[in-house]
Amino acid sequence: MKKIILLLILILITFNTAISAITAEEVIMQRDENEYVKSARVEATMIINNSGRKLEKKMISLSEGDTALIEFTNPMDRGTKYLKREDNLWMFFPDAEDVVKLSGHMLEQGMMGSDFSYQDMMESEKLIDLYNFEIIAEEKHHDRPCYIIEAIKEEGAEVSYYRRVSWIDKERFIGLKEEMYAESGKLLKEVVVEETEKIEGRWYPMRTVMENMLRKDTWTAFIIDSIEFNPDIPEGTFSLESLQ
Amino acid sequence: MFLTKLALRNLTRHKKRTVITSLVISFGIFIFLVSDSLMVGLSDMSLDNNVDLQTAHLQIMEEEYWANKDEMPLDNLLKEDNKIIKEISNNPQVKAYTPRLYFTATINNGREDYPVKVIGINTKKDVEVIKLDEYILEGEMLQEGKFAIIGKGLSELMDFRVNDYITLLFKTKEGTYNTIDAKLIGLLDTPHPNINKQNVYIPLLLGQNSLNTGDKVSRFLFNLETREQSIQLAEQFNRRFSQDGMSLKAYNWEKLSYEMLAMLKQGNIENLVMLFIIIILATAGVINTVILSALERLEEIGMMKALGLRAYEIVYIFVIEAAGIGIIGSTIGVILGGIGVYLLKEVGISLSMMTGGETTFGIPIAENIYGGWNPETFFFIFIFGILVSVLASILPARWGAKKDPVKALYHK
Repeated sequence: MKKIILLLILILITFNTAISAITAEEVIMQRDENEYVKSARVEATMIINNSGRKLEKKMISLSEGDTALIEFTNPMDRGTKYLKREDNLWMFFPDAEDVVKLSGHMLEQGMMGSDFSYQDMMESEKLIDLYNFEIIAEEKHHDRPCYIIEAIKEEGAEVSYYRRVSWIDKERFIGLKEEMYAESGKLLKEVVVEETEKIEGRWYPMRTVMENMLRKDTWTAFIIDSIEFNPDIPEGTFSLESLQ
Repeated sequence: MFLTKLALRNLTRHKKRTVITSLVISFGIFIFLVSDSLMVGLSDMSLDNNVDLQTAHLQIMEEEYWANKDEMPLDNLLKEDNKIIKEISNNPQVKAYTPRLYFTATINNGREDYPVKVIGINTKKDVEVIKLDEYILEGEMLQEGKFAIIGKGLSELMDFRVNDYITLLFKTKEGTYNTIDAKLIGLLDTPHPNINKQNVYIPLLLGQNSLNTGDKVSRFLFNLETREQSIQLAEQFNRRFSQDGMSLKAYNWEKLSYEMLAMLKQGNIENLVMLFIIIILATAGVINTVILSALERLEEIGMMKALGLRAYEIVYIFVIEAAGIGIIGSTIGVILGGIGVYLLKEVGISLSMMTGGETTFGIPIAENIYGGWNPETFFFIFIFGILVSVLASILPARWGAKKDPVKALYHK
């Protein structure tokens, strides 16, 4: 009898180890599967808070792979459009009636004055190829059990943030919080997912708040009002002509 | 001779008219001389400031770097410990040289950020080429360590004081964000507004370590015995580089200041436009006076014609009269202009006072502008004043001279 109990304990321990032996890469891949969308139509609201002054912007975005078209719909910015194709970003301001290509240092600026830089918005590559991942701890974040995964950039990889620390829901495989660090170790940005929802079988972040840690009293909330996966996108949507 | 005497007597007979017309001409000449002096002063001082505080006499960099130098890229850099640079710096015309590393960043004070140009300098060698140490307003010159110095304008904008810590956010060569937290140990107040508002100086080593560029630098700056030597020396260095099949290139001060020279050239065009306006003004004044005097003196013209004077002799009288007015106007103008230029040269004028302190239109002068002295302009404008006056008088004089003497006598 003792032997059987011992065997059972042994089996249980082995089984448990097998479960917890999920690697950081596997967690990241599962998260990417959840959060990476092939194509989508999103209606969203962006609330920009700067020292107590709040600005609300509404937008509709269409995305397919690494191309996306965003059009602002709130009265102040109505008609302002952004087109992203691979690593290129163009902007159309209706007042100027001109298409401008954003490049270089301009991409580091906050989009429409928000805490999301153009580069943050453009990041569509899967991080798995660019960073080395490690599970550094497991803890609860707002009552959800999480893996805390540290990502350090691969040598020579061209990425904006040297180190990222992510809190990923152990069961839903969705990122709930992420800290982005400079190479010097300084915390630059913090993203917190405040609301998630299960849509078409996958957990998706619905309200995300980004904070620029180098500036006091500023944060930007990105709220998804509605999302449709794999919508019908008319041909020519992602052309430069569609911007005007 | 009689006609000339008559013409000259006319000048004194109609004193008011002579004085007013002369004043119109002299005012135009005065404005032109003063503005020309300002332009010359502005041009000289801009170039001096730019060469002394930004470009030095000569720079050496990779040819591909030059093409994109305004973006301050982190590729096409040079080795700091550079054999060929050491070798050519033995040239007796070279007084000193220094390596510099340029990159862009945003400076942050915890509330807001602002784009700046960061320059990593060799704390010992740099002062031998660019004398920033002479412009320390507060604190001390840059030292090795996690230190920085910035301009007064930037410190006011970002509310930084000496001993505060500044944060610089930038991207390394691989496009990865990095930061430098450096203690502000000095504030600069240079006569170059761009340096005061945009530049952050840090030790070269701190820059190299934070950007992961190793022992690389963007350019070498050279200080020569005189500015003029740089043209010939750059050619000499370039011959040497091409002989050795190197992609290095030396740029003389003129090439390094080409944007400014273009701007100053633009200024010269503006000066010409102003000259044109002054000509029109003076010409209108002279024409007006001659027509009025011809009208007033129709009877006199009629009498002269009745006495047997020919039309060309009457035109001659008017032209000599106008030349007299031109000489008086030009002389007064040149004297007034001389006083104006002297004052401008000695006392100067504040550009920020003229523009309300808001902007200096990108002109690299933060102090008073001092006028330049250009004797050729004085000579040119003196002759020009007389010529305009003479030419402007011919047409109306001909119109008067052609009048029928009987009608002219009884025109009332």
